[in-house]
Amino acid sequence: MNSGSTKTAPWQTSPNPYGFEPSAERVRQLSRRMRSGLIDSLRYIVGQTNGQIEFSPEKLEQYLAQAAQGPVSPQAFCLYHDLVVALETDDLAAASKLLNELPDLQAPQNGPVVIDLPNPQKTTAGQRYARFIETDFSAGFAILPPSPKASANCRAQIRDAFALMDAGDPELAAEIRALVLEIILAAGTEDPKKMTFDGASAFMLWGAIMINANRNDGEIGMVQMLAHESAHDLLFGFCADGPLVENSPEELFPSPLRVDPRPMEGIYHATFVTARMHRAVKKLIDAGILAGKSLEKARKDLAENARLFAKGIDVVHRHGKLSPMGEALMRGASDYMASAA
Amino acid sequence: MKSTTKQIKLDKTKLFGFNQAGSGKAQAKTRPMIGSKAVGSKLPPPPED
Repeated sequence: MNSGSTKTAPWQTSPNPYGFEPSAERVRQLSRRMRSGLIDSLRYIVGQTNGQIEFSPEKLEQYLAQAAQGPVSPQAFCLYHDLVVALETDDLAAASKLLNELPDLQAPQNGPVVIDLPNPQKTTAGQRYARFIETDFSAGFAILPPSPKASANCRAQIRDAFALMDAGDPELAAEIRALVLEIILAAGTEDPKKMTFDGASAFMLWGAIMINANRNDGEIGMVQMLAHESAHDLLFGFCADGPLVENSPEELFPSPLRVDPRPMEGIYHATFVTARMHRAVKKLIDAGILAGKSLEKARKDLAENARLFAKGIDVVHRHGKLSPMGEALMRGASDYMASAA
Repeated sequence: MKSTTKQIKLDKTKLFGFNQAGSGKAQAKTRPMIGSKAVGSKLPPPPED
């Protein structure tokens, strides 16, 4: 892991490297750092294999050279993870398969591309997306491909949400486009007694977010969903540099956004992304581009986001053991919320 | 029979996004550093709510 690295990342030389405001340029720097971590580790691993694994070194090296120059598929991080696990468990056949598969992963050059979750029962990609998104859930739940109708409806909401952001919050729209290469539309169970999800993201799926296409919260809701999930990815990008919190993952606390108790790292994430959702809504209101029911919903959501942030930051202040980076990032969120009150 | 000696050894400090070894937790070797984040779970509220 690179958390002990003493290298100074490019964004750390800017006057406010952990500032709260969206920045596409900072995301591009984070992306370079994420890819560099992945590439360096892959080269190290390949060096360790010492001829014991069958793969094409030339093809892999060509892929790594390309990865240094531009975006990589979010699945590359999953595949890397599985490669390490395969080697840790001496499954050299699996490792070989993964090293041969990696160079064939295509990355969208201009994000975000909206895709329907491929069937996890029938495709490697679908199974991979679902498995990595599921890592954090204590109770198993369904991640299914969306229906054509739900997918079309959700795609329209995403288009409308980007149109709103382009008009009222171009900085956030630019950051999301730089950060999110893939928006994966999925569906959860419709059984009200079972656990489902609205959106999800994962460190090892960096550059992708998953949205439940069955949600129907309109374009104001979708702006917040995009702000929310992209902010998780932003924090994941910073995490390549070290942890945000130093609490034990076994310590659980009430979450502002979820009904199940969460580790401090989850509370931290939820609190930060709530502030980003608040900012996204406030920008649209302040831009004067909302009217009628949209404006009414935005005002209601703004108040709810403020309430949830207050709830989350209280838990963070009382129980959080934040790293200096975690402290700096959350200070930006807190200062924003104080100035917006 | 499965070998007890790893055929390919990896230095944990050279892995990307994994928890560092040394915490004494076996799962640290293979778990992603960060889990996924999901919102809006629809679990029924606990009885006291």
